[in-house]
Amino acid sequence: MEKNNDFLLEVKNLKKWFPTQHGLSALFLKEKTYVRAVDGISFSVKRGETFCIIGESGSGKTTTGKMIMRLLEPTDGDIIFNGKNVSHIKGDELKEYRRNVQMIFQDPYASMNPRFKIKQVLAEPLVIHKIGDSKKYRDENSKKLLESVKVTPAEEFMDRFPHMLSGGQRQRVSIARGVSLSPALIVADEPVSMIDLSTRAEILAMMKSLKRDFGLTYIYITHDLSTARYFADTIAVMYLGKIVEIGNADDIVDNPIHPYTRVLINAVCEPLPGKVKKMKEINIKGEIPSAAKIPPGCRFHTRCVFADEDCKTFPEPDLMDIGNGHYHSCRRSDDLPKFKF
Amino acid sequence: MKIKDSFSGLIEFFKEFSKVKSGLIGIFIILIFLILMILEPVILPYKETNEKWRDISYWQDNPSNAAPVWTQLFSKEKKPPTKFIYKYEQSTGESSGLTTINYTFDYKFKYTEAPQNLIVHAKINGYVGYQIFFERPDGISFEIYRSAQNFADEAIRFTADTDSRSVTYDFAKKYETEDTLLYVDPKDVNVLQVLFSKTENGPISHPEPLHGDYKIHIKVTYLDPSATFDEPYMVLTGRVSGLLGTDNAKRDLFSGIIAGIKWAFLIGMLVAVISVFVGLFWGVTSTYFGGAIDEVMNRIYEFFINLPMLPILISISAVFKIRMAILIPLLCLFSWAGSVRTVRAISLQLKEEVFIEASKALGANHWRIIFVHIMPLILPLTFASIAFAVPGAILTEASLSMLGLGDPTIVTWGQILRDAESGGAFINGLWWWIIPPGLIMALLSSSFVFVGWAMDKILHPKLRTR
Repeated sequence: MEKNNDFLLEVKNLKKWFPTQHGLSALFLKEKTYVRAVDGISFSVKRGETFCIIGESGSGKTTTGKMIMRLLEPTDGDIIFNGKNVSHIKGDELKEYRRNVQMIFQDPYASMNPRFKIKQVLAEPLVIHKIGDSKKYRDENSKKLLESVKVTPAEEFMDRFPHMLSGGQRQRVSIARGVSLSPALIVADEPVSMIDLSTRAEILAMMKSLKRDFGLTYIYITHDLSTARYFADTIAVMYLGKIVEIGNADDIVDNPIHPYTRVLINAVCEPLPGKVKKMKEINIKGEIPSAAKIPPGCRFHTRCVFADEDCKTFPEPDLMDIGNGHYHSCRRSDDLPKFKF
Repeated sequence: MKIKDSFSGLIEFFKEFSKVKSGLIGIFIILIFLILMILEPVILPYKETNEKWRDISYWQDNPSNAAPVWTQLFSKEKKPPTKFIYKYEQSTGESSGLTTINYTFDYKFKYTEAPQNLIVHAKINGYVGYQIFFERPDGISFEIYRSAQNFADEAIRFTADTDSRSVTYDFAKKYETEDTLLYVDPKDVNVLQVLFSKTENGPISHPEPLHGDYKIHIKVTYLDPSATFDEPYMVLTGRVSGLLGTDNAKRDLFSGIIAGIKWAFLIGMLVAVISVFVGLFWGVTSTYFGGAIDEVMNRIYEFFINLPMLPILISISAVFKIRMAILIPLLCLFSWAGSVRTVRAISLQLKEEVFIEASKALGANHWRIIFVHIMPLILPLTFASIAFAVPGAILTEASLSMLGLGDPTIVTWGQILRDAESGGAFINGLWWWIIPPGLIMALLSSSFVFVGWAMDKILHPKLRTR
């Protein structure tokens, strides 16, 4: 991955290890154990693209998002935003950084203070960053934002409390709050996973149009490949804290190499006639192992149906380039059967 | 629309509150106390109770240790209530060339016991002589006092109990046997009892009330033509007085108790609100920051919650003069820790909420999150703690007053109880001095506890954060 000025965000060997012991007892333990939620990942996000991180629960994708947002302090590695290392900034620098990077949370029911009216929710970024001190300006701004996310009539919604809105409406408000400071980068952590299927596409389309209007760059975190393909330019597949495959969205979906990526693609449901009551065959076994006890060798071998003895003992392979910006980390890629959807 | 929204929560709360009977009773009693407090200027029988509680002369026309008036309803004996007589007949005369004015007061005596005292008030300026004559229904009339002086615009106060002792003794002597008189010390004669007793069996040895119309004449002689004698009035202090009787310093206890309401509320509410808010802030801050800050703040909290309040307050009061302005902060210092634990439990849960994270992601600093996001959400849950903290503060003030460490410039229920204790109210059976202040303190405290229970029932089973 060459260095390029077009990169808005670069992540280098980022790690987040949570200690499993706390307090006094941790001081006396010789060997400390960690939950390795994110275990050394690197990627770059181009200006104006939508970068998707995909993986199942426990794969470390949300932790990555929170580290980029600096809600969590990275254990190791660097986050470089606009050419500046932001992995350990504090105080005013951090506040300024957060003006440029915003986050949209998964649960629209929990991401707003239940005692705040919608207009207060939308005014909060302005209050925090001391933009426009008049109430009138803030109300105007809230109104504009609500209109831009198509929560109309805006005047009526401004005085409501979050619990009086539907999930879709709330997520729209939450997105409006995210763009209110016109940030460069938005980390969207599963923004539609808790939304009704019927409104998902609408919200994603709206996010796309916002991207155009505001010149945004998205980091889109999801477990759902179908929305990822629709929405993303680049997809990174994470498993147990590592990126196992990364590349152009179309490449990843049409020509997946890593067995885990294949599983994710196969797991997408399609309501086809004649397939009622038929479970799809998925080439995976067991559950995701605990991040506190990452299996030796290839970390996917415990669940991989193609794994051999070497996968269990050989050191973990690095990402291998197969051209066109497509990387994967399966050492048996040549022996795998051709992917069939 | 807007108004409805913000009130709907409140209305819902009261709907649930009204289901809890004890809470309603509590609210009702508190409301009564509040009304009494607001109406204090109107209902106080002695308007200057607040300023003159410790001024003996303000209470001088009251009987001491008198029972409440309403006790007469349950008693066969008819004790006289205090009576102020402002009405008099006036007649002018002349003796040896000097003007005299005769003031005559009527008093109808029909009780089983004589009044406690007979007091005459007047304002005199100049050289005046005056005599007081006591005319009984059996026709006996004699002079009980005389005085001639050059007064400089003075208010005079004659009390039969002290000023007519020897005259009364001389009067009673005539009706007693020599043997009886051997054992009677003139200083021990009950003056008023003798004055209002039949003479047949001896007014000292066998006093029997003589009912009928009494007349008290004041004969004023103007020894100096420009002299004045104005506003004479007479008081017959009774054996029963006021709604709740009097104490040994002649103070009206009903006035004292009414004047004490505001202090009970002030101490109770102020201490409760301040300490719960400090506890709220403390609990939220320590859990929010966590780590070393939490450890330190927790140790401080543990230190304060384990402090023995009373011994320390006693030693502090040995150094400082206890006034309200000192007492309230001190009580807060000892009671803020009470609500910390509850707040911690809720705050630990709240600080992990997504909207807190969202606010952080927006760039909010710690104080904004603590004051704008977390504290307002926990606030409603601390209302129960406030209700529970009020009685604690009231009773602590009472205990301090009981130990003589109260604020001596105000009237509190605790101080009335202390006076009762030191005045031997219990030994002398002056129940009206002990029971009302004690009962009223218990009543107000328990009504706050009732409200606290009711709030607890509503607020705590489901921690309503949204």
